[in-house]
Amino acid sequence: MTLLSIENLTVSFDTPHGAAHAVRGIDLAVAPGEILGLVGESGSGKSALFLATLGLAGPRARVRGSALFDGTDLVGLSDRVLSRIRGRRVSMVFQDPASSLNPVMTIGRQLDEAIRLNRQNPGRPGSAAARDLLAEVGIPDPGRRLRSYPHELSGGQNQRVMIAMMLAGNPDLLIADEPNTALDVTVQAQILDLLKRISRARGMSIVLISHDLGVVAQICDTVAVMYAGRIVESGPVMDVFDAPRHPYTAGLMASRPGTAPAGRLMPIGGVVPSPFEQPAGCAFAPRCPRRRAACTAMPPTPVAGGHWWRCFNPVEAAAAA
Amino acid sequence: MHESRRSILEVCELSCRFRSRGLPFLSGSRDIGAVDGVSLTVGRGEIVGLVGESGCGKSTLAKAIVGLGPIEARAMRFDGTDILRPLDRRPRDLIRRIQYVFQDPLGALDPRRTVLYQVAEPLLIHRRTPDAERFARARTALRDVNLGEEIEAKYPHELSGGQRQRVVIARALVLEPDLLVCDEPVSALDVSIQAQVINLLRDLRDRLDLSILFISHDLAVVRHLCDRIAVMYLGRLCEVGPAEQVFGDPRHPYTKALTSAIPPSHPRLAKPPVRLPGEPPDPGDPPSGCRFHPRCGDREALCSRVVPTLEALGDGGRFAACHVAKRSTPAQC
Repeated sequence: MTLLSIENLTVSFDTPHGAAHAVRGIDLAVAPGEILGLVGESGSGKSALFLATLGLAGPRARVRGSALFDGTDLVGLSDRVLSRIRGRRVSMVFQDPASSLNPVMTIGRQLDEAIRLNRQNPGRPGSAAARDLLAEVGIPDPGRRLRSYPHELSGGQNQRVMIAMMLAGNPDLLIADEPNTALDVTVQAQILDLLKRISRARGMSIVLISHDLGVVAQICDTVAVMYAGRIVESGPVMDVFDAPRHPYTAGLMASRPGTAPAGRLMPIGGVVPSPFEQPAGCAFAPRCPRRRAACTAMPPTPVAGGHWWRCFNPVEAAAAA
Repeated sequence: MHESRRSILEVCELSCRFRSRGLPFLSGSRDIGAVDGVSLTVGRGEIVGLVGESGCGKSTLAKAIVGLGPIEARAMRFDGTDILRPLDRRPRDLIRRIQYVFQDPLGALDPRRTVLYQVAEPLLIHRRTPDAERFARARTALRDVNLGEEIEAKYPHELSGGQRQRVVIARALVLEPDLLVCDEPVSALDVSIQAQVINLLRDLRDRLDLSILFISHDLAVVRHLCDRIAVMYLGRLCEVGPAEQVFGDPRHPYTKALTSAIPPSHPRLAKPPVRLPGEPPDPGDPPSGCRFHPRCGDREALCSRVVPTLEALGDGGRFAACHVAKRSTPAQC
């Protein structure tokens, strides 16, 4: 049973220098109620993937493949049809709440707007529904906050307001794109906590896009690691963190401080390939310590299973554990 | 250990006040104490981490140390010399010995000059080296940060984020400073690249006996790199101590909340964070007594009335500014 099933999705952008390949063939499934962490460094295509799926990648994006959401293929849908799905079925929360909210409208009016646009039948008067939503995302004194403007709230509270707006349509899937990166450490932890609580309470699926494996370890059920527009490893969080098999995943874990306080970090050498290149083999091969001849010749195919990876010479499970 | 070494930097009761004008018809001008009575030392060859959330004054403190921005203090000494004066009134050689590394390397570099020129430029400004030697010295600095000859003729936009930050560090190192003040030097970098810069800073300390004041909001990075940690909240220090002890056994309630919010390295280690009610208050109108008391779960009547001073807890080089933590520490002789 899957809620969203993305198959062989590619996204490229037309630029004056030729096509920039942001997403190079992604297969991804999200089950109902699941929290999936999509991890990758800047430029790996993790944001482009979902912007393109929801038709928000702009006029220069070329999207191919399919993204079946509850039986409907979102790729190629007209903007009119998509706009009925966005907000009601699938919502998206972005990194910087301050630039997503309207600075000259009160929180209450912005919430009312979201409620009006996304509810088929008006039901209860807007302000009561808005107050309930603010209470659900943990804003103290919601009745008074409805009359506040975004600048009167802190960054963490604004992000809670954004999440409340996204819940207005009672979506089945929430895409959270680095929802806590712009926030302070203690507030970050609270926002993650909130997302997990809402997901469990509503049975709502979440795709959490992040550059931080620690964030994924904190709240996700499954994880998919992206590199240069492809998923290189995916599986249940426990399995992947216990025994990362793709050298890139293992490298990310070894380069992050926290595991061994005194040990030396292991940076990954080299740089991310340019989106204009089309490498014949594995995109990570030039930086890979476990590279073999086959790696540069053709792309590895995924190994089937709940925990899968895309590598000719994976890290041994025992060594990784 | 490091704290027994001679200190290179001593800051005694430093405050930085800004005048906020606000909107004239709403309120008069008022003073905002961004930093309030902070005392801190950095030992020779020591890496001290300064952590705290945005607006707590950590960058203001760092800038005051290099002589930027308003400074009031009882004393501020660098290697025994008084440095309680703004940058333009500091002797040139003193300026040379304290260097600053900014968060955003692209913004800190000149887009129209080559790497080699930019790394050599401080030597020209400080008239430290004969013209003939300048570029040779710049090359040495670039080698110190593990950058090869191939990047000397490049421009900043041609480099990766990690390379750029290493160029910025090389440019600071070329003057052979004793203290490096790094303000969020890895925050703008990807995880795999961050590790290069963190390893580099540690190597430089080991090799050159460089002292580093490392400012960051990323607690995992600070824990990994620093010998000692100073935790700041709303302009004041709330806890200071050896890194492993502060993270392993935090004593101030704010430090407890902060350390509990570090993302885990493995899902099995995930635990719910300590919840702090409310948000950091307005630094223009700080709470009375302990500035943390309105959000503190351990607060007592005393906390809202009396400002806690930073006092030693035991004899392990640990300090906390908390009435409750102080009392719960067994007295040691």
